[in-house]
Amino acid sequence: MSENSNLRILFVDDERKILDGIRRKLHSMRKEWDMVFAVGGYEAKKQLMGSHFDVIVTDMLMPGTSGQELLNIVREKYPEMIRLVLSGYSDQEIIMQTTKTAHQYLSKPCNVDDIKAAIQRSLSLRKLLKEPRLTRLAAQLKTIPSLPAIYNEIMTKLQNPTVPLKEIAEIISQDIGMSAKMLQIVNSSFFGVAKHIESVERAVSLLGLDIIRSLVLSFHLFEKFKEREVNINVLNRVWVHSMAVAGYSKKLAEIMNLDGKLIDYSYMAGMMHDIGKLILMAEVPQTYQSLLREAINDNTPLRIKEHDAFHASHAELGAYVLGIWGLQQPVIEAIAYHHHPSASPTTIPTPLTAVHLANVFDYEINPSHRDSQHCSLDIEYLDRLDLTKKVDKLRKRLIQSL
Amino acid sequence: MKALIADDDFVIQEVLKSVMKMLDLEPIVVDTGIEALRVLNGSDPPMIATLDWSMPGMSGLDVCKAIRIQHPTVPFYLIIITAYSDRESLVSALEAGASDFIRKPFDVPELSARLETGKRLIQMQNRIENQFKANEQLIASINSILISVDEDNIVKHWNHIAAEIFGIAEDDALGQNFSILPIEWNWEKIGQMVDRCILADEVVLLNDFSYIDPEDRELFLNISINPYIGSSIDKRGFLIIANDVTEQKFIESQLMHSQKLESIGQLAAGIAHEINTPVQFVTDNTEFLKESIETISGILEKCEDALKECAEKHNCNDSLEKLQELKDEADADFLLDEIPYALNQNLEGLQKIATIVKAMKEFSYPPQTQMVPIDLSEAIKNTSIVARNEWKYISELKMEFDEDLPPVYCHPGELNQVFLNLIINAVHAIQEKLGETSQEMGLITITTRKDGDMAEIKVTDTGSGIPEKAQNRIFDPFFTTKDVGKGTGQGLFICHSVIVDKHKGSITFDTQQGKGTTFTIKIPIIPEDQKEDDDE
Repeated sequence: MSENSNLRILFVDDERKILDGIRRKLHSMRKEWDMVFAVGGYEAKKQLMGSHFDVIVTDMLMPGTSGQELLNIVREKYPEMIRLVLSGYSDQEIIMQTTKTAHQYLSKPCNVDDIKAAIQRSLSLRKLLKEPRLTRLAAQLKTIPSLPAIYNEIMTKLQNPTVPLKEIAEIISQDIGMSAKMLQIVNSSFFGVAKHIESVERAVSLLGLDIIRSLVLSFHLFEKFKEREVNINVLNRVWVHSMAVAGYSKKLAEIMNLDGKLIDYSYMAGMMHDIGKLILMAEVPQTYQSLLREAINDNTPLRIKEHDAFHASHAELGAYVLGIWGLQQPVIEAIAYHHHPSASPTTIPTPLTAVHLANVFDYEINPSHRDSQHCSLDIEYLDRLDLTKKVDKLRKRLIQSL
Repeated sequence: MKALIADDDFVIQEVLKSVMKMLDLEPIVVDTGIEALRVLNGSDPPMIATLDWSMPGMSGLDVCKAIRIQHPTVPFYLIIITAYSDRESLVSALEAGASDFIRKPFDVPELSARLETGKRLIQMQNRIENQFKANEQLIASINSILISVDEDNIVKHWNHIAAEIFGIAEDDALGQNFSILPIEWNWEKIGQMVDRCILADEVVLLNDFSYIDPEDRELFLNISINPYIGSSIDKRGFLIIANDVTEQKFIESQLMHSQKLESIGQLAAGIAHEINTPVQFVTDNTEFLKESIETISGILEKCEDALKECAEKHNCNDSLEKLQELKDEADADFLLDEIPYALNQNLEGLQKIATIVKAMKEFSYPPQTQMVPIDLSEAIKNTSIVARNEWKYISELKMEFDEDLPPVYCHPGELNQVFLNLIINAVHAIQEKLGETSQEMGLITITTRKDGDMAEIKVTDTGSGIPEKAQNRIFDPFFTTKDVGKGTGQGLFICHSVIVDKHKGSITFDTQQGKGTTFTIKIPIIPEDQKEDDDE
């Protein structure tokens, strides 16, 4: 998957005319994209066998091979492919199934520009991850595991038929993996609610208790870390740090007078800025454990060790996963560049600014934290934004507000 | 049983006492007429009494007279004891209200026999009275309107339900001429039915009879008019028993309505999907057309510039080259190739949307009280379009219509509901046989045929068939063999009610395990009452 080669996209629908419409509408993209249109699942399977694709956009309900089957095949055999659903179907059970097999769900009727944007966004993420192993890992990921304690709590609570939605929302918003999954579902139009979601609580209330209950209990949307495989202390440290950075980011965004939406994004990005670590801990626990050890022994930042191993750090991995899950661009950007914001092209304060500062400030406040010595402000970035002189004031106001 | 002895003679008291005890009577003894009256006027008085004619103060005759005046309806058995034996005395005793009399001195067997007669009479009266009370109670507890009218058309009985429903109190109704009571209903019809009941001496039934209650609400009554033998032998009265079925009717119509809503709700998602597809590609194509026109206009503008340049410079090579570049850049050939197809597909798409919308409109035909003649093949086609998303992934649907079948009188909305229910059932049966994820398709065939003056509709599926155990019960309400959440057991019940009750037709089925089922509906092409109207 070289960056220069044309992107290959497979569109699948059992209705030829739908494909014709998309083909005409996307004709202007012909120079950058190679588009193949397959009528029905059977033809799609033949196409998949014959050549490589980067993205699949498929209908769900088709005679013969259904969209769900197709997505399962793709996930299994071509794990690095990005899987988008374009469906007019409103059967909840089918939609629930796709929450684990599709990265994003677009609901018909859908503006082709939205399809275009979703594809473009997914592809722009490609430059984040250069290691095929990591791309595969990221695209195959169904869910990001939860802290065992939080997982057990929500499972117990959901068994209770009269549990208030508010309690469920509170639990979910305490967990990074659950929050990320909820945001994926509401930001995509899985249940017809693609709109700006300001918080995990709001996402939960939009979905409602019935959908959440079936997603969690019947479709096993959430998973927990396997206690035997991970170092629970490391896990807890990441958790405490993430929640702190979330709070600080929000505060800093407010202090910097970012607009309301960006304040919300700052909180989300802060909470999820280290989600890449969780993914690595869950997916390659042993490798990650040895990277952690090496980093301590060599006194090197962990992210350097990650780079050595995967040509990317947890920052890029987290951004990539949440990117293909359809989370908002400012959140993705903040996660991807939270160590080196100068690598991003932005010149004005954004959630990235808030998360970068919050991350460093939290390490300053807790100097005992092992990563503290390796995290520092990106002066080049701060200069670009004309913030270098204001950092002390920001830090002071943040600490005052705590 | 208590018995009273009123006598001032101690010896006679003793004789009477001993005879009464032999007869299992419990004697109460008093010396004077005044005291006798007090006992008889008391609570739970003895019903049988011997009264001495001549007692000091008040005589036995005086006691008789007083009791009969004070309690004209209480059947006391009063025996006068007297030494007089002349006819005049006897008559005056009976006239005073005595039931019997016994001469002194006593002949004990006679005394005993006369007391015995009294006792038997009282016992019989008690029995009749108890029976009467029981009947009264029974009648009072009937939860229907109960009215009896005698041979002279006078209301003789008017129960509390009648009072409640008609808003006329019992006292106001009793003794009135039935036909002039202020009840707002079709009196002409009632009159006809009463006549028929009396003349033919048979029970006449009137169902769903409309009545406007005092609060101006329309109620529906199921009325039965029964011949009733009054006091005269050759003339008959009648008895009206009626029930308020308004709520029941309401529930029935609600049931029908809720089943309709339920099926429309189920269909809505499918219809949305059916409409979504054309909406998606028509929108895409239209946007493509818009962009194409913009591109082509741009090229045309450039053409004009090129023409001018050509004319001015007398050298067209540069301009032509530029134009060619522009044309290549815009991929004009692609646009010209695709535009006609896009336009055609748009028209097809819009046509499809129009067909679906029209079918939906016709499917949910507004409820009508009158039957209307409709083309059954159109109705079936519409229903199949509305339900298309339910069957298209599971079965083929074949329709064969008899062209000789004239328009059929029916309630279209309800008949469509029947077709829909049968199609959905067929789909479920096929799904059950083939399994949820099968790639194999079933077949549903719908045919119509003119069968004499009946229209016959057959819906045949290649599904699982109806299990033998279920065959007797499939038309019962709430009976279902489907999984929870898939059927409420209302579908075939509604079908049966619509076809049999509303259209006076029949619905039968023929099923083979594992092979499939055929439902056959027959309804009159022209219903009976419509025929009469047509003749007129």
